[in-house]
Amino acid sequence: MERETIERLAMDLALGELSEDAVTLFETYLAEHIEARQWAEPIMQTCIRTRQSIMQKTQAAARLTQYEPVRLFPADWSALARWAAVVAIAAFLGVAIGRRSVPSPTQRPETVVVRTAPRQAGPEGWQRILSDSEQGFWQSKAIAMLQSQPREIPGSFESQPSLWDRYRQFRKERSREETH
Amino acid sequence: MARTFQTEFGQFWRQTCGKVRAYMFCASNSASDADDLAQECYLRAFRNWDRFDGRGSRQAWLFAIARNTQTDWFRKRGRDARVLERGAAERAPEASAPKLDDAEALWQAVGRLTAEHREIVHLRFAADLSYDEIARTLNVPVGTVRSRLHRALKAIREQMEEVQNGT
Repeated sequence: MERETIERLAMDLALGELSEDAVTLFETYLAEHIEARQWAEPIMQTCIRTRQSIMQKTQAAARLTQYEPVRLFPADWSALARWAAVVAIAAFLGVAIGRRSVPSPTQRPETVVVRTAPRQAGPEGWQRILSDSEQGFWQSKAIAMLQSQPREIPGSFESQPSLWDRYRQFRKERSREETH
Repeated sequence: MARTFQTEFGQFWRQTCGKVRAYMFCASNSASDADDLAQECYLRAFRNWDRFDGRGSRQAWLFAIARNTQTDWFRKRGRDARVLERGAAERAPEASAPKLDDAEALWQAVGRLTAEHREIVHLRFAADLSYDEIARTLNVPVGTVRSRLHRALKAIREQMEEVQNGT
């Protein structure tokens, strides 16, 4: 075979483009012909080295552009952010559920009537109260006593006499004594 | 339907992205440019996915797109043919280093090949395409691919011998 044919077949062999049968035949031929082997080997070596060189270059370039993922927060902050998100979601769910649920029936507070002075009732009124009530003697007696001695009901909002009022009262009494 | 297409395209991308990127890097000699070119290439492939006529392999079709993407990119950047002819070796910063290892010397030797031969070498060794796929990508007969590749390898070998004998 001619040198160029040998070289082309050697190139095909090195690049894996020959069929199995062709590989066997060509290898047998090379084993028998030393001169052909001397022509084939350099081109096969060039194939292998070219492949290695290009792979080395392209892989080195691929390593250069392996970007690190960008961290928005440092490690501690990211954990904190996760927890904050969990709390926010829980709060949101709580508010949403609370808004959707039916309000529970609540009792109205009883109206408390605050009196600053005891109720005045005439003798007829007392007669009626005592006759209508089915309470005992001592309770009726206590009510009668309370009516006779008006006093301040605890917890009322009646204002206490101020220092100025007391002073005015003292001045009035003093002027009255002086006139007498 | 859309889901199937997405899955198919995603799988195709995973299978070929390394090769496309390597091929683009050989042409541009820049990792970032290779990324841009690969992205543009896949964008074009995505848009024209249905235009594949089924002749040859999908990979050969993709590399035809990649080749056109390269051509357009160089044209846009205003690089003339002579700049391309100089190849990757002269653009590399290590080119002026006095002593080179074998891999670097070989890389430069590839860069000094003619555009025709260099392209064949890139498609074969960086993109790892078969003769048939290269033929479909370049739209030439398989015999032409073999003869061009053979001449390219001979040229590389001669340059390497010069380097070894001369320095």
